[in-house]
Amino acid sequence: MENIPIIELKEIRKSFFIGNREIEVLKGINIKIYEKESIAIIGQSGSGKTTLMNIIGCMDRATSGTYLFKGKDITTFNDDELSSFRNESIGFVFQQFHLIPYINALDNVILPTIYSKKNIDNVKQKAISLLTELGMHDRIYNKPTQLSGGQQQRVAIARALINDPEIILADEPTGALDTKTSSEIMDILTSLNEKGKTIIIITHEQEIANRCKKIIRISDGKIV
Amino acid sequence: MLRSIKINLLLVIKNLHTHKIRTLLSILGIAFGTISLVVVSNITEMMKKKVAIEAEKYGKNLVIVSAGTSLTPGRGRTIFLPAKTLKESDAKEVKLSIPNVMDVSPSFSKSFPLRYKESRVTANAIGISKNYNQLRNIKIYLGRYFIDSEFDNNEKKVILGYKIYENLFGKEDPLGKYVLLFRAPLEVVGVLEPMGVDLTGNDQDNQILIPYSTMIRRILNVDYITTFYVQVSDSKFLNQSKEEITKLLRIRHKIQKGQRDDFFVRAITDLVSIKDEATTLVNDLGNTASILSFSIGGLGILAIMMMTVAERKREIGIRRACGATKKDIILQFLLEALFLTISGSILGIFVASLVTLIISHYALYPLAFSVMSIFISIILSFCLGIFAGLYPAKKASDVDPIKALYEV
Repeated sequence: MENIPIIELKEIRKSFFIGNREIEVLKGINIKIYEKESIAIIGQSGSGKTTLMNIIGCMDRATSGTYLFKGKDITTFNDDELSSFRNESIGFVFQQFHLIPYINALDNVILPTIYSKKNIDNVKQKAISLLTELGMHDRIYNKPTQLSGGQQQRVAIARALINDPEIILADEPTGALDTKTSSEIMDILTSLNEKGKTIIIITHEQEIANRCKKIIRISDGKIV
Repeated sequence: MLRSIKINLLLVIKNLHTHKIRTLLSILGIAFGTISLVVVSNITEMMKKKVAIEAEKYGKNLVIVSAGTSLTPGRGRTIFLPAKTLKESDAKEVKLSIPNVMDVSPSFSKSFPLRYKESRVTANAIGISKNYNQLRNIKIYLGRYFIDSEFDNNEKKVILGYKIYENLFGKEDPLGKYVLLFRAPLEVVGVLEPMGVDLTGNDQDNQILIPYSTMIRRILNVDYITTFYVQVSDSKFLNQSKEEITKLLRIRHKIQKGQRDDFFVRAITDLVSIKDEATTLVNDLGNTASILSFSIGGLGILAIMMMTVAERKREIGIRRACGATKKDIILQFLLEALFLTISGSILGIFVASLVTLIISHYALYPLAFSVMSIFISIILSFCLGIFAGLYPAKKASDVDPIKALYEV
């Protein structure tokens, strides 16, 4: 079992049309990610790293190539299957936090569970304990606008964890935060990895990438 | 699914809570539609109930025969030609020769000025037969009904309608006092309870009752009557009796084939159905108004939903990233539209009930609620919610989550 990667990308290509011109953003990406790894995908803006993350997170489809998840080909999944895959297996953390503004921290954390097929007992209790673990016990009922950037990102991480996904996929998780808060968020992500989560972080900052065990560098749509 | 609906609904409420004014405005159309539908239906119900009560009050199983010809040359227009051809003997003959007729009661009514000291009123004076109080429901407020000898001896006695009594006497005790009908003094023996307008449109509080013989022999000296009431043994004979009375009177009045009747015969049930017809018209108008209001309300919800989808593209992206399928997104916005229309409807039902209570209180209508209209307005608002929510919800589900999440 150990040598089956949790994610395996084979010859992933992605191109977009701008007008009549076809632009290839990913030019044959091959990656193997094993369980409990922490991986940084680093690259400059325009290198294709966000497109790659969207493909890994099943928000987007590759133009060609194969995506194996635990050895299973999910390239052929339809929209509903991909949605349910995202729901169960992937927890997203975004640069802009992306919390729903009109509901409080607790409801934001609970959000993914309403799309879950699994019956999770005591969702509310679980959300509260996740928020507490992340040091948010006194901000549970605050709305996102009442929270600092670092606090919002903690809520977003709790939301990513609520359905117990195998993978945490973080896109520039510290991009909107100051140095001190960035380091706190990275502490949280690395400690999650130590507890057994597979962590994939997309970044353009070397210091952030250095906190991960493995670094994949991407440039002009290729791994270098 | 059920849990998802429940949580989604909670989120919908939280979202709408942040836009209170907008939400309230958007549901007003539906609320007004519901109000006009429910209020008008309630009024219709109340009017029908009132008519039923009036019919009950009027008297049991009555056919009313009136002198004169009633012409209806156009819709809603009635021309009345009075006649002096209806006689007391006609009434007696009806009682004698038509089966199922229990009793008849001839009467004569005419408007008269009435005076007591310095107070003057115009009253509808009705000369009534002994059995009038058995055919028509009358209730005595003060004093008594006429005794037989007063009928037999053409005595100048009078029973006053309530308003007449109030206007002439105020707080004074009227019993034993004399009122002047023209120059004829009449002794007051009783006052009627306030009874309001009866089914034929007579204000019973503005009438005075006089013994029949006194009226036609001593006051007017005429040999005809204006009306007689016929009581049949059972309501199922009403129509049959009407026909038989008409046939008999045509023969007695020597009316040739093709000539018009010089009298008209109505059963109490005819009066009820005429009144009910009028309420139906009111009801139709109300329904038209409410359909208009519902359509405008539906368009309002549609507009609000389009706006909210455009505003919340990022939220849609977040939900999709968290695992929402397109169907989940459709469900979410449909629920939101449904919540809006149904709360509009519930608000409308609440206000309509309040309005109904107020109308019933001030217009003195018996309270009645049209459960059907409440049911219909909820169903209607549900359909409108689906109609107004479906297109925006489809739009929402087609939002590209990547664009929604990365566009600032």
